[in-house]
Amino acid sequence: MNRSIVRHLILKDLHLMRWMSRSALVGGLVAVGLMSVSPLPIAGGGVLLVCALVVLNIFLVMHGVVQERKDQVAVFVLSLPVSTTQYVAAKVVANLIAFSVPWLVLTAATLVMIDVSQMPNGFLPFWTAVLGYLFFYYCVLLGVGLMTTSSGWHATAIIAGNISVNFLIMALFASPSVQAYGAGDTAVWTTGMAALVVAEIVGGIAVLAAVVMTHSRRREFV
Amino acid sequence: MHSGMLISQADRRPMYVQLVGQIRHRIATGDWPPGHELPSIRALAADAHVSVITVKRAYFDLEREGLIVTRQGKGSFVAEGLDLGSVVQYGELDAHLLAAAEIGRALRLTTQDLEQRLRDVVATRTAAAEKDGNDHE
Amino acid sequence: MNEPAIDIVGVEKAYRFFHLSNISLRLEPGQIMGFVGPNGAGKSTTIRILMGMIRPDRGDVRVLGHQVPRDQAIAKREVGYVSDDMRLYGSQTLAWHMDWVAPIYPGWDAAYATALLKRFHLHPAQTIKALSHGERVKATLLLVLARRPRLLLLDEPTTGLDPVARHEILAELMDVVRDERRAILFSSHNTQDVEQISDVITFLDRGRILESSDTATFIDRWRRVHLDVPAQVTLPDAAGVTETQRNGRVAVVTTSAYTPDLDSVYTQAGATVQDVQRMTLEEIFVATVMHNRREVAS
Repeated sequence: MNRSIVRHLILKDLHLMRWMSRSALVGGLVAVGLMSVSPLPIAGGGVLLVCALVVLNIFLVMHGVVQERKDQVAVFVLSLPVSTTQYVAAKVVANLIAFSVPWLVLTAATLVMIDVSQMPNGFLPFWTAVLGYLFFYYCVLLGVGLMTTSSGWHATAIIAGNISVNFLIMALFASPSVQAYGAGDTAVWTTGMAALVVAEIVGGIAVLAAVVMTHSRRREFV
Repeated sequence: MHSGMLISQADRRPMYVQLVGQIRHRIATGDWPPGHELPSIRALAADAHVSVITVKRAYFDLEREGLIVTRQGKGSFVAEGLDLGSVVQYGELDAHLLAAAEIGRALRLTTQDLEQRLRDVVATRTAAAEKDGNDHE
Repeated sequence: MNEPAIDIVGVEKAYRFFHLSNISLRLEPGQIMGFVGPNGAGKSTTIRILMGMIRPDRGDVRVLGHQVPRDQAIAKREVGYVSDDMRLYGSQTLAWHMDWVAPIYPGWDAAYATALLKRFHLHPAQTIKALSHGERVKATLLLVLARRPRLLLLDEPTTGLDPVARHEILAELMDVVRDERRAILFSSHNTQDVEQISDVITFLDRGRILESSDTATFIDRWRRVHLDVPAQVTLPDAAGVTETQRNGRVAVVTTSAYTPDLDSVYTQAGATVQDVQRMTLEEIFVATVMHNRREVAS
């Protein structure tokens, strides 16, 4: 009974968010397709890919997590035989799945595309780092969405997040390793790049875990 | 089986008083004959949309009047061997008492004054009856 | 299994501008408790504490024998909660909600659910956001009633509803207590409903319980005594009097402990009793709260 209510909640959330995940996936795949025929590594398809994932991120957190609390639908879900901890856990897992599945597919598609298309393989680390950052951005925004219903904080997080994505892309593009190896036919993983990607993934999960742990101990849930 | 009891919000009498009146009416008219089983307390509460304790109080008063009997574990039943006339008379008694109370209020008597007056009147009547009895001996 | 449906002992909860203090109450199976109090008195907070959504600073809370919030998931298997600020998923239909909720509860009665759809005049294919306020409340209540929970916690179930909807809901609620193992706690501004169907009434004001006792004896203790008081007469103090209003020769005494002896007290002091009136729960409610606030202020 314990685990099945959590599963029931997760399936419900996935069902409610399915169209967004699917459209982001489709949009992202189109973007990857565009990237494969474009001579420029970022413009056009690349921008579209980043957009698709950012929009998915924002929608999943705002609609899937925040809106439910603001609308007091969370009160309805909490009236079911579920503890506040289980509610948060189910929310996080469902939301993570709804984002990560398209993200994984699109990341894989991007890497494969770079490999087989005319885009130089030297850009593999670059794109891995960009996509890894989008995962990190998602984790942070989900954390913010779990912790507060204040739209001021959400707006701040989204604006800061979007700006940071742009910043990161520019900084990465201008970085010595990308400048040196980007145009090449082989992917060159400097320790810097590798560490960055690892930090993005692990950091994202760590942020989420920290939020879930502190959030579950809250004394007032609604 | 809906009992058809209806409690009026506009009626300022306590709800259990209204219930007692309606049940007494059914007994007096023969709708509920002697031995008829009354609805369970919960069933009547649900039908009439009143609290359980309201029905409990009504049944208690009716039992005290001798109109119903409650058998432990079996329920409540209209009393056997009831003189329907006496049932009606209880209703009449209440009406008379109410009228007396109204007059008493107009005379600015307290409830205790009224009670004392009733005792005086009954005592006078008892004394007169005894005197009559003595005279006839 | 004769444990109380609700057993709260010594609950305290402090917020910045509001303090819930020394809340203790008990609800037995088969009882209906009416929860009455002004806005902000702490009724919703108390009910949320019962549902494990708010953790008190102190005190012991047991719902159907289970400790809350620790075992709230278990307790909630047999508790139905509806509050007036609760919302369903607006973009989904009522049918979707019924299909989603039913498998969670082994006690879900599909036949009863269908009957309720008819009684409440609801169409399962309608999306929630298309429903009127009254229909939405009835829909939320349907999801709770259809699984026949042992305890119903209702926060303002009839507020804002038209009289017909109120009547439909009250009829279903009264049906619940045909089963003496089930209990209902409902908070309401509608003192008429509370007065009519509650076995026990609990009064709350500013985070404190003012009164918790059985309805009939409680209401029976209160009277308004109308007096004619000559100018030179001072009305004696009497225990239980919460308010005395005097305007020239006319005085109205509100008392929470009426006995016929009170009439004599006033008569002996030289006043005359014009009328002794019973009070509605609404009048008692206002008198109690005002009296309590005056006491606190002094």
